[in-house]
Amino acid sequence: MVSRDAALLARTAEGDAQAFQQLVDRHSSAVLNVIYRIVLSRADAEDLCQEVFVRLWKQAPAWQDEAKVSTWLYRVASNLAINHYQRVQQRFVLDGDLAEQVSEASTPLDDEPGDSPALTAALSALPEEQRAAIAFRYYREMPVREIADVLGNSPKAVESLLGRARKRLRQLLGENND
Amino acid sequence: MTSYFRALQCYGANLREWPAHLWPIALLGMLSRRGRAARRNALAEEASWRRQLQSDGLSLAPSAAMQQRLSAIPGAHRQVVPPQRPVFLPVSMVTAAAMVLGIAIGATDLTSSSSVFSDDYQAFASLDIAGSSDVADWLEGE
Repeated sequence: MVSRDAALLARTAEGDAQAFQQLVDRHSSAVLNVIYRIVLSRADAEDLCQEVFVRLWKQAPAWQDEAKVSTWLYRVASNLAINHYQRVQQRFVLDGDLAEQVSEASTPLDDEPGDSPALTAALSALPEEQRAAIAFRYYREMPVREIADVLGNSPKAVESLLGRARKRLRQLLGENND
Repeated sequence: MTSYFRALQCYGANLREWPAHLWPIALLGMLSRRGRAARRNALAEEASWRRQLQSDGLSLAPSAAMQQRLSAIPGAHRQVVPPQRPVFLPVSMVTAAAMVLGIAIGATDLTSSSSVFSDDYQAFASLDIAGSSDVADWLEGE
């Protein structure tokens, strides 16, 4: 049975812009939110989200991935977001004078709807891969196996990422749930 | 029982998310009180984290500017057309074709029906290159 996404992708591969637009309508919001949870900046999240859909459009005719379209989108989105975050951090670390900007870059703008300040600060202190795992598990409510597929890890590795993330969040939020 | 707790840690408290081969372990684990309690705790913890992290109610919608940028993608970017793969016949197919061709040539007797071959062969056969007739004469004389 061919899924709706697969049918739209087949039409996109033939250059059908309307089918592509439907894929955008179906997935752009979810992709944007996942990226935002990793990079914690709306402007960067929108740029990266656009890049994800540019790749989808370009690669549609050569599509050979057996994964679902949504899984592919999340995979590309998380890779781009993690790489982007690492690049930004590297750039700031290379220039010591800009150290202050690190904290500014990882804090959402005032006019953005965001988490509570404590939670945002705690999330921004996590390594980006742990943040990605948290985003997929608790915001997208994806099963561990699907997250493993997206992140290219084993389910055990994903659970380990989640475990370390929860432990760190507990410490940062000053909770004693254990 | 160890496998049950390990799987619970690895795949989470939602048993539907477990791989099918672990379902018997899940059933066995659920039979014990300790197993049920561990799953209840895991479920409660998952729910607590979800509630806490989703408490902001944040759900970004693509802005109008972004929607425009996304709609412009088909006009602004060319699709990557995959290159046509060259046709390579497998070795076994080439071997089979050569054998069929050889058998067909043999069956039609192509070489012997050619006058060039047959005339040359007759002329060649009449030559006594090795001198075998001289030897035969000498033997007869002896």
